Amino acid sequence: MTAPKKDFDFARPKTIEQLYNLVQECQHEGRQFIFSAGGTDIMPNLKSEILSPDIVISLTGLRALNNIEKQGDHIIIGALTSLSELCSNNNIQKYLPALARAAHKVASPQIRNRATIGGNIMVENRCSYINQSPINRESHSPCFKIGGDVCHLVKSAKRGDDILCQARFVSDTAPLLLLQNSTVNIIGPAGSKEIKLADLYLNDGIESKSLMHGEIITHIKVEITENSLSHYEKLTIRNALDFPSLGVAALRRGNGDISVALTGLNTRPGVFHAKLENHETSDDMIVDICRKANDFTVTYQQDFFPRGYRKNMISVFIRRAINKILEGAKS
Amino acid sequence: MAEDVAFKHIEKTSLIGKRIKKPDAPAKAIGKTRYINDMVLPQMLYGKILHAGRPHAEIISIDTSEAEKLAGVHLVITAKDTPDLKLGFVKDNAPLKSKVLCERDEVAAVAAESEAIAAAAIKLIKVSYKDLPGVFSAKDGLKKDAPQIQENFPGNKSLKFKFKHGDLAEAEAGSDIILDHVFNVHYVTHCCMGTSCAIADFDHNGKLTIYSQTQYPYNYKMDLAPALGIDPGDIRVIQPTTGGSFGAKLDVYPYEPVAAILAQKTGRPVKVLFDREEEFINSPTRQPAAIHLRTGCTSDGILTFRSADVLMDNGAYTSWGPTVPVIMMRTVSGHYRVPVIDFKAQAVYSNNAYAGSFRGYGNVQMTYATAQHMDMFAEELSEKHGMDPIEFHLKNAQKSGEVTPQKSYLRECVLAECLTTAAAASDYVNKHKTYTEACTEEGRYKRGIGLASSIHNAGGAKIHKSDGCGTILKMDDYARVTVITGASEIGQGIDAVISQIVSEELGVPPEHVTLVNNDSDIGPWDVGVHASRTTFIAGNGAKRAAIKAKKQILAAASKQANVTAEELDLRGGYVVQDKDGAAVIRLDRMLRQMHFQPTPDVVMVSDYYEPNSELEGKDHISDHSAAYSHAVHIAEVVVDTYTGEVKVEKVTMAQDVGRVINRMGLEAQMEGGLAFGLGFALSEEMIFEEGRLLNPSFRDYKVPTAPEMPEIEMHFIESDCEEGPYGAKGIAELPTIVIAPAIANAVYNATGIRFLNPPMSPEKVARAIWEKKQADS
Repeated sequence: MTAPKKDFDFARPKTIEQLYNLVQECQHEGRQFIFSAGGTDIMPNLKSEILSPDIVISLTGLRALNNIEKQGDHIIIGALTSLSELCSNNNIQKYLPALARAAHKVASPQIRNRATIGGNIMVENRCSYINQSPINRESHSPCFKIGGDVCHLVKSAKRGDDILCQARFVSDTAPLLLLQNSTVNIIGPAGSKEIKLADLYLNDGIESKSLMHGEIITHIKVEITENSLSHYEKLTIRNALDFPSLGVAALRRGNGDISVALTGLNTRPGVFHAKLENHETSDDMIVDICRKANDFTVTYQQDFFPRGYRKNMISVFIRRAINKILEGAKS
Repeated sequence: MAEDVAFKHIEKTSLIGKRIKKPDAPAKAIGKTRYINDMVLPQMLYGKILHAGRPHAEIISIDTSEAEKLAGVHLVITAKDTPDLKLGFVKDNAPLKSKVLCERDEVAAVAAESEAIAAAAIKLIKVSYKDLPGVFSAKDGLKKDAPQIQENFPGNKSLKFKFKHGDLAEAEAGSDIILDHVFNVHYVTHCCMGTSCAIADFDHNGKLTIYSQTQYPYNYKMDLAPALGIDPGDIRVIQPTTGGSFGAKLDVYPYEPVAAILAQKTGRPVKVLFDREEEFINSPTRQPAAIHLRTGCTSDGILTFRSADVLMDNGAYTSWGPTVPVIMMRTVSGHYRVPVIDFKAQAVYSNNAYAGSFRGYGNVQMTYATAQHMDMFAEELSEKHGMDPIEFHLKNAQKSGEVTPQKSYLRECVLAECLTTAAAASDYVNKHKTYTEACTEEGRYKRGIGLASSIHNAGGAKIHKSDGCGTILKMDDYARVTVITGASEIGQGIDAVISQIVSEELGVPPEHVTLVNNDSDIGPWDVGVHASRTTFIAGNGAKRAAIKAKKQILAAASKQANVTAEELDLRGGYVVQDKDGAAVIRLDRMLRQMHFQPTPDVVMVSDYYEPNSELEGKDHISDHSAAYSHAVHIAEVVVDTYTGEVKVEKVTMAQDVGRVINRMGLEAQMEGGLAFGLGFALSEEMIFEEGRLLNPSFRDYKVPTAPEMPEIEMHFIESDCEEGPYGAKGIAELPTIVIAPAIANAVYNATGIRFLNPPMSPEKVARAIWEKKQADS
């Protein structure tokens, strides 16, 4: 896999208008196109022939989408902001330090310099069968995600099942953004709209995002929660380069309510809440959230860590993340 | 006296022990270095190999017709085109196979105009297989009804080794404590950044030039020739910059003769380059082993015997992997003073991947066992008899002048200093006691500290009839030095060391020394980069050659200055008076004067250095290295008992380096070696299922990353080796060897659990902690 096997064209439009002229052209000519922001998730998939477009349209020419701004109770993050910029930005460090931490936990410095926040929340779902070289994939029967008729994780799965593909969600930054009630601004051939980030995620490994082909995310609007504390914990075998085998974001609001969001497990992120008024101790709240998280989660043998171990670590990491916040609240 | 030397005085200084920059480092850092992977020759074709992808099968038929028809394909070859060509340590391997014995087996190969066409052609080759039942472990290979793998090796028995010394029964009877454990050491691989690559090019006289990453260019010719049916003398080996090797290229592997056969038959240069997945599946591994170790000790803490029975999975073919018992037994017989030894090892053919040499060469595996036994004794003696753990180690540590049962002569032995230095610097005894007491208390995070040591050859290892290295040194009219050495540079740093040594002797800056060492038609013979030998052997050679050149220059200068040669020295680019440093003449001017006279006197000297060591014989009783050295690592870890995560926070190392030559290179070797051992101990593992590798990528094979590196405190003990250059010993393998058992002993200190089967992955550690809790309650 030294280079992508199939040749493709490359374009970098400078304005939204140029972008959609190009998209229209492609649709008219029947050319398959994909968008690329930082390209760090696209390149390996091109090399391993999971993607084989006729043209890659780079969004990096859209300079206006690379900014971070505070507007009242919100932080507006341009979708093309690199993860490195996110980590070092003053507003993010001041108002959303856990987001900076989560962004810092992605991959390596070189990748963070290129990878964008928009790309990270849109990162393709992964599975230990699909994300392999073509030769390796060919040695198994083709799975649902590449048009086949089996799932190597759920052997009993049939076409037409509710969740067709179990490729798991692996964004490090999405969990915290979900807890901060973020919305995303989208533009497409049909115009622009704003949706809740939670509505971006669908419950299927193949069609994992609700974004339509041809639409792009322009901004992410993140709510600043008064007097809140948050934290992100990530399970990996190494401290760099690995996707989360499990990721936990936790947020404690000023009123004492706690919310937790999970990544690295199911086909979409999970969000769970515990209200202070319903519980006697903080430990009760943790137990309640752990129970909800365990009910939600389905783990498969698709990671360096065995399935049972990851399942066991869910409660450990939720507790770790919440305790970190509670320690912070005390001091 | 010329004007430019008037009143000039140059003090005697030394470069030895200083930090010398590696000459190729800037180009590598900015991406300017041209590796073999970057090379393109005019008219070059691209070769690609079809690997079987199944562990054991008969090949019923191969249809290459579709591939041959593809535009841009020049040639397709199979085993039929290469009859009777053999390679490997016992000639049990071939460039292309007529029967499949393991996943990586080369079934056919293509030469085409581009990489893409070659890859497409490979897919068009139709092979019909009949799968056969396979053997997937050494134990299964020994079963009576096991399928036979290699025709010429009945019962699947490959190499075996034996060494005995003293009366075992008597030693057992005299032991108060006997430890008996089986350690299962797993498969790991080298992960060179540059993947395997060869470019073969024949000229019209039938002479082969092969561009290769090999680390042993001279014997390589001898090993490659039978796989091509040509004379070794007709092979020229050129070594472009290598992207890492670490033992992986100490043998000829099938892709190299395949490239040559394709070149021979097409009449065009042919390049074979692995992609990362091919590299994982088709390059050698570290030799896995099941080590059954028994060790005895008296209640006074004196070791009585060591008995090791090693069972090795040979894989389908024999490369250097199954020969590692040669070094394993040196550890069994030489790691501390052990009077009675019983060592045996057996390699068994299977349908798994096969192993090659890998940094540490058997000692990584054996020290993982012996150093844990030493720790177990120390624990038991301290608990039952109140013995200080360091005292136990010191009681058994050899001293200078001792000879091991295999006749390794430990001329300068500073194991005791290594132990006391590392223990004092890390506050080992106090921390060990504190953590032992805290081990049984409640609490999520447990701290531990662990000590391990080992011995390794540090003056070459005479496994060939010569362990020597040739050097040719010439100086030009501008006092620039060219050193042509047999020693290869594969990233280990001999380029910096040789320029430093030559500078030291000739008084020129290191930047004025050019090394030529990448062409077998130019360089004199050397046995190769292995056994931590290059600084010792090639360093000695370069030093001796430089001294010869210096003598020649000073002899000429003495005539001019009317003093004896002994009264002169070379410093800072001048010939000077030795006693006060007064400059006599500029060196370049002196060289020109020597050159341009009726009887020219030009500096061109040569040397062949053969170390003072004995050939490793069949009985394994010989002083096979010119020096031996020890290292002690003390690892401090934190274990998260909830997740099983082991974080190595700090490593204190003390190593006998003989004498520091290039401090920067030495430190880099320590750090790099430690990273290898860290991955081996904690996260790296090749996972095989019925002979197939399940994790052939950097995504799934977990090499440690920068944040995993612990704080490292290095103590270099200078034992001043009499035979080594300026007293230096070989250093590169020990840091990889010692760290893993130090971590294992630290994890024991933290949790009370022994891990006999690395890697100590979080899941394994968490499971063991949980099981211990169940058993305790």
